[in-house]
Amino acid sequence: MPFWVGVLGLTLSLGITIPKTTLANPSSSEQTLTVAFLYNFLKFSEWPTQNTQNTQNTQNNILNLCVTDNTAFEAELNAIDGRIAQNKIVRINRIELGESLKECQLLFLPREEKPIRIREWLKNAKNTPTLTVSNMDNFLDIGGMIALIDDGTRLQFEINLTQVKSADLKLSAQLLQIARAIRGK
Amino acid sequence: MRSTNYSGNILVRYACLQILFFSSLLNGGKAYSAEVADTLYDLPLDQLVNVEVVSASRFKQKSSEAPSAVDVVTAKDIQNYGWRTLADALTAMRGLYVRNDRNYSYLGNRGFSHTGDYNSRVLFMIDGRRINDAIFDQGFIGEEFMVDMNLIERIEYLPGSGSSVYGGNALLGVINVITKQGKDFNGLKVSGEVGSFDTYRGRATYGKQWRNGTDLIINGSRYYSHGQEQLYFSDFDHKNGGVDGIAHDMDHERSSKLFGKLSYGDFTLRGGYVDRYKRVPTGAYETTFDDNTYFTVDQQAYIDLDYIAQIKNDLNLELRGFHHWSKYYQYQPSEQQGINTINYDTANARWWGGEIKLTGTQFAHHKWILGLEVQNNAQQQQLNYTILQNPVPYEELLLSAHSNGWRTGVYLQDEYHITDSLLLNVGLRLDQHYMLKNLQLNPRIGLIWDASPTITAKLLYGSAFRAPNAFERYYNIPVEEASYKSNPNNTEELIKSYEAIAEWRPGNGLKLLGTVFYNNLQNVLEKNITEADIGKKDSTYGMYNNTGHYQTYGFELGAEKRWDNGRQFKLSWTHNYTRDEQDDQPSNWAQNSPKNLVKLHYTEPFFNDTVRLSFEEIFVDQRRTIKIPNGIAPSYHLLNIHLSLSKPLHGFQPTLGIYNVLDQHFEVLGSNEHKQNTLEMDGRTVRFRLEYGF
Repeated sequence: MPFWVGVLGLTLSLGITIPKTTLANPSSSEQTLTVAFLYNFLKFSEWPTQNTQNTQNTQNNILNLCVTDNTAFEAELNAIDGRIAQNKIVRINRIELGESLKECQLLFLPREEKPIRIREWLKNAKNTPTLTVSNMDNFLDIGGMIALIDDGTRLQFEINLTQVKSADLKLSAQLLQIARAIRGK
Repeated sequence: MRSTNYSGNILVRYACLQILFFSSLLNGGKAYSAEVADTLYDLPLDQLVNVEVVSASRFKQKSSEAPSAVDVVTAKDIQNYGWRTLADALTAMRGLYVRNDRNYSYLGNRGFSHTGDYNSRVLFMIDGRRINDAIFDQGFIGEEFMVDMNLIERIEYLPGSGSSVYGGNALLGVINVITKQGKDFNGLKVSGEVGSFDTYRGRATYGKQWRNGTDLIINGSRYYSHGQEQLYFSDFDHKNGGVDGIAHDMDHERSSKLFGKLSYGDFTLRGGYVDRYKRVPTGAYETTFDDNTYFTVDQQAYIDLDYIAQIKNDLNLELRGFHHWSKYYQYQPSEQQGINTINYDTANARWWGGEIKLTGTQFAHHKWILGLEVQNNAQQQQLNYTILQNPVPYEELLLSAHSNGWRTGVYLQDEYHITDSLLLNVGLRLDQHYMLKNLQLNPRIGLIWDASPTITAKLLYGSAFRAPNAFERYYNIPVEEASYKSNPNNTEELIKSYEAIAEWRPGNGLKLLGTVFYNNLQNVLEKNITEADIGKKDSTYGMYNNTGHYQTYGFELGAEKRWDNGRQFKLSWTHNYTRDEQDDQPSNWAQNSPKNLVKLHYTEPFFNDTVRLSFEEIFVDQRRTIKIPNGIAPSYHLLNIHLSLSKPLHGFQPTLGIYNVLDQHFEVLGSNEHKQNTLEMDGRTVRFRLEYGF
């Protein structure tokens, strides 16, 4: 009994209220939600078809979602492996720093990666039509395209359109509409 | 009045939860996590941005930023290499070695392993929560560890002193066992295993995650091992005044384990129980040799309730409460003046407490942690009595020590990103401990520099303390021949550790690591068993005094490579020299300190990674023995081969392990309680396991 009193005492002393976890509100782990966003970005982006470097995949009807070897959520990613987006099959590719990004339609850089490595990834992605997405802080400032932002309760995203356009990518109007903020024109 | 409502609220909530679980169990509820996720992936974007995020992971630390040369093994490694106990898994980790005296298993770290105590200088945790017991500070790593190997998601080992966040016991390192979630099982799994020496284990695990994120895992297992039918110890044969030196059927071991975890919203409730029986064949503590009434029983149970919530975008709160129980007892038969007696030794403990931890990221480039931890060792009871059946029933109480007290710690840590590539990690902790007169202040400083995208360098300094435990302070047997005396004046042990680390990840799955370290461990509690003259004992004879002083210099090299097809290679080498500063021998090389540890792990996938063949080779260098002060226990190789399926086939997942393939009868040290200078370990053994998932 003293134990429970102790626990409750601790809780009370801070005056913390238990948040209402109502069953009606959709809720999800951050990992699952992040992957759901990545899947949607694949659905609502357009890659340059003329680009010779990238034709192979589009002809093969594959959209490659590349993740770094430091991306932790394997099970969540595997859940969208093989799903269909824009009539193409989504494939998860784990790649390492230094490997070519030619085959990657989307590159996800988790905040678990160090900033110095993320910069290096972005540098490597510069000359390929690869949509870069990250949940790290200040991702758009260092040249990223889509930043996933946890506002404390929900996951939002912001877009750096200048970067998107310079890579010859197009984002659907719907995507731009739902984005919390858009930089560049 | 508010408090009444509040507590009622929680209790009602839990009652409702329980009903909810059982009803969905009965319905065979199909709300699997996969389905939850599936519907989420199909949600239109405009709804996706309205989904609430549960379980904040923003405040997790990156292992590359941890102020330590972390070594990690995962569930996959456990599956590949077929480790049967936590001790097996720890044996595989960089810089660790395990000694087993057929009673308990003892962990050595980077050339330091002190016999006569029970893993008290390493902090053991389940899901980040301390589990060392409250009498011996014991860390259980054999069958008496309450988490089954199949439940383990990850084992993290942080070498070096970590008092600044974790408090006492983290002198040589921290071992954190992280458990899986219900969704990792998603149903019922049963497994049975058979092994050499009539060894059997049955296990059932049920895991599930519901649509609302509620996650449940329950695991139960029974273990029985007859052990070797005959164990020969030359110290007890006819040449040494015994019969034949053979202990018959004395290696029995049994255990029952139960572990459960329930997460709902921001709450996680954990509970575990273990009961383990071990016969002791070594005739330790001058007991009657080959008498099967000599055994040890360890029982532990705990519950732990966590509340983790992201209060604001940049503020995370963790609250927890815990309650632990432990009981140990041992029957020791002996013969004194022709009369058979049994000595009963027991320790009962109960401790509870809580922790508040705040993590914040409000200040640019800073992540701070502020915490308060309290623990009340409510019951610490040590009893010892002698039982006599003949000629007349008789009991003599030799020890009845009761103690209790509070320990409190406040800690503050800051991770300061000076630049994108330079991180300063500073921690400070203040502890008040009922066994100590003085407050304990311990700092930790780590400088972590990303020299390039592939190279990281770390410079670390830390100090840590350990207060005497109830056993070292109060255990007292006032009999002439017994060598235990309480010591109200003993005080804390202290370590200062320094380390430099370089990590290189050049790509292609390759990881290289090098470290240089120096440990200075002072005021080590050691039992005085020296006799000034023969038969003449000095006044502190049998007491635990702060007399030990050890210094360790060493380095470690590690290489790891993972291939896309599932092939894996891992090699580590730890070299050190540990000096016993008390030792007046010309070579003051510490006892039980192998100068070299080499570990090689290799997994080869076959048939498109459906079958995996894994090799594990452990080399432990020679060690100086205790009973014969300049004796040497020879170095040994331990080669294990394990064959497993990477995924179940029609629900079945068989594995086959051959342990100690070279059939080496390697030796570990006997301690002061043993007659034996060294103890021979088991030769080649085999284990087959079959798991079925429903």
